[in-house]
Amino acid sequence: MLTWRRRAGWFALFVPTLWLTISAIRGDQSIYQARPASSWHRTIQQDCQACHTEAFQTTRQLLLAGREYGHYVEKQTCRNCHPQDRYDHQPLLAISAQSEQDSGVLIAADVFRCADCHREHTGRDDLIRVADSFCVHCHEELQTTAGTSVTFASQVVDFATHPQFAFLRSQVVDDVTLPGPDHGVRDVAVLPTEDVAGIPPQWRDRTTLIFPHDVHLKTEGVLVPSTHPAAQGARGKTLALSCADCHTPADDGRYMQPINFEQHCQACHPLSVSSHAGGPLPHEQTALIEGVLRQRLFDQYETRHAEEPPRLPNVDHEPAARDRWTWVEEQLQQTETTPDGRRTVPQLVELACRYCHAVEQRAAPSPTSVLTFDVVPPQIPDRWMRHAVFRHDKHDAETMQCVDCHDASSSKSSGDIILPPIASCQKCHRSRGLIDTVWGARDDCVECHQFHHKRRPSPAVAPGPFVRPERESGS
Amino acid sequence: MVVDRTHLSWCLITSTLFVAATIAYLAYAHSVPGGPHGGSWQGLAFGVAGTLLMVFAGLLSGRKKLPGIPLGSARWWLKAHVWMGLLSYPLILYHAAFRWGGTVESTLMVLFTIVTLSGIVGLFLQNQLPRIIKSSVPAEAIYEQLPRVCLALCRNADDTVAQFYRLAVQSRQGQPAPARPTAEPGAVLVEFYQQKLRPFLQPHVVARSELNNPSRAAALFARTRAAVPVASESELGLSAHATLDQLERIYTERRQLATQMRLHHWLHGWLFLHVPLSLAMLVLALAHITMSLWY
Repeated sequence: MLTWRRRAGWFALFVPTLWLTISAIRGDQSIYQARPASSWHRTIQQDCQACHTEAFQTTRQLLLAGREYGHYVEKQTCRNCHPQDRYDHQPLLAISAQSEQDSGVLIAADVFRCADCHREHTGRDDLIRVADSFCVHCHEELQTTAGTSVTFASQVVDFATHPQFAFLRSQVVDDVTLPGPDHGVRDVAVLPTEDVAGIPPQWRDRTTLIFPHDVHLKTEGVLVPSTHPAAQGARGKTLALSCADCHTPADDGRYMQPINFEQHCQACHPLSVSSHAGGPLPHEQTALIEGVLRQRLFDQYETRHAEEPPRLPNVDHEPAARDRWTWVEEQLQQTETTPDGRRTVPQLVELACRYCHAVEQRAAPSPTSVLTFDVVPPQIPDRWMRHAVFRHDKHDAETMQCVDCHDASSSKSSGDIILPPIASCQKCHRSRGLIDTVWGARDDCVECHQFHHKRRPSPAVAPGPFVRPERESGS
Repeated sequence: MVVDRTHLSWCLITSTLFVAATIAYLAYAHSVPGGPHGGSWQGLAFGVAGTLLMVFAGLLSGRKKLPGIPLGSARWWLKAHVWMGLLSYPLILYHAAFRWGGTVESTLMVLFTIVTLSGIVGLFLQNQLPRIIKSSVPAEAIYEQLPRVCLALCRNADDTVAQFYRLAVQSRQGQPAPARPTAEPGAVLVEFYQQKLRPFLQPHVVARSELNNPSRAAALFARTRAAVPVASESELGLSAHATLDQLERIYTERRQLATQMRLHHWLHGWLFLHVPLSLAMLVLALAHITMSLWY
């Protein structure tokens, strides 16, 4: 029996050695891979050194570099094929000036490497879908060099307990919940400092546009002028408006195209301010409006005085035709009867602008200009939550309506922020629990948030004050 | 090796280490981004610990070959082999984060599982079978001597039958030949011995022999006895019965030795899996470690 056992032992040594030797001769290193490479890297799967460029990186990384987990692919190796054209998440520590010179791209110091989050050889094909734990590693207790972050919520661990959206965090009782001074919400909204009628102040849209959604969304419809296509020349016609009449998705389906006066407003608001204006005025800066107005009056003067008879000496004539400039000025001072009394053309123009816009008087108006005001830029935000991405096309009309998230019909002021609270999203975006039988939409961090931004981080946070949690062992 | 009270300290130490490793694993699995995996420093620590234990367990065979070296008794090494070997399995599972990995890794895990399970089975057999052998094989002999003992039994049976045959020949002298030679009581016995019993007494037992079954064997002996009526009370008849009794005793002893052989194969056969596969496992583990650290 001993002899047979010895033979079995030698056989057991021979077989795996033979197998490994044959694999080495064939150059097949895939037998050592924990899982095949993803389909994106399948072409280089047999060439381990395409990514693992140095031998014994594991040992060096773990023992010498003090990294928590040995992901042994240098960032530069990835950039050989994936040139970085976006900025990484908030830069953490000192920024490499050399790297900025190299590419012109602001790159965070090599605290993160691509392979830290985008892990290959896991059997998954979706390298982009990074697990929440990578994000939570920092965001479960977001720290800065001065302590707990005052800009962003310091504890975010999952979507179910995600803090409320910034524009709804307005309670002054607990300052920690307020968005910090550098938070992006302050680019698009403002928090009044005083409460009204005992109600705590709420974030307000910064826009200066005057626009009541409730008027435009009346179920009985809005009155349209006779020039409106829907009116077909008749007066007193009404038109029921819907969200889609003004809010058109962009081509990529993500967000809405900006509101365009000519496309969305002009049909009902044609800017026909005065009979002396010669027609609807353009929706432009006041200086341009004044120029157009004057040009039209000049043209009117030419038209009216085109057939004046020649002047004969010693014949009584009507007073000599005034020069066109003076005539235009006189026309501009003509008054018209309006429901609010008699108004000159410049006054009518200002009233028309004030109908929707905030205006401010010029500090030093030009003596030759009749329009002495400027329209305050409306500052309509094109994006609200810049720290997240959203696709309207994925929330399409087959399953959802605009009002499911945007309760615009009761909004009387453009200062109202008609965005849903996070609870609205959490109704559908939730992980399946052990008991829950409803299959929710994805709720992982990368579903909404991007690590690689398109925007350059603002100077206020670069070089960033954020720090990465230390390795737990303290080594 | 019998697992007795002397193993208690080993059991406690192993259990304590297992609990500590499990707590460490749970804490690490909960904290590391992306989940636990072999490439993290914690995963590597588990891997190193598990591998060291496996190598230590493998040193038992070397220790057996060097009995003179004062490195602890063989009994101590065997206990260490058992308990440290058992502990290495969960440590390797923690290293792999309960994943089976690629080709080499999966093969390693399969081999490791078979080696561990065969070791556990072997330990169980080694604790149970000796007692069974002792109770069911009173005529136990040294295993290596079994062929000789079987041959001795065979010779003893041959002598017994030959003595009976001489007596049968003497008693038939002067008598007319029987109508049928097989009707003679001596012929029945001799035929039974030559056809059935003697092949069974050889060192290598015929697998399909009726005599492997004790109840069938008893029926055969009874049938043979019935063919030799005692009522004749002739010297031949009495001698035939005595011969059959002697042959039955020899048969009983031989059957016990056959049982002992079978049990011995069970007692040691698991080593045919355990030892070779552990060698194969060490070869693959070396390759896995080298390539993992290289890349």
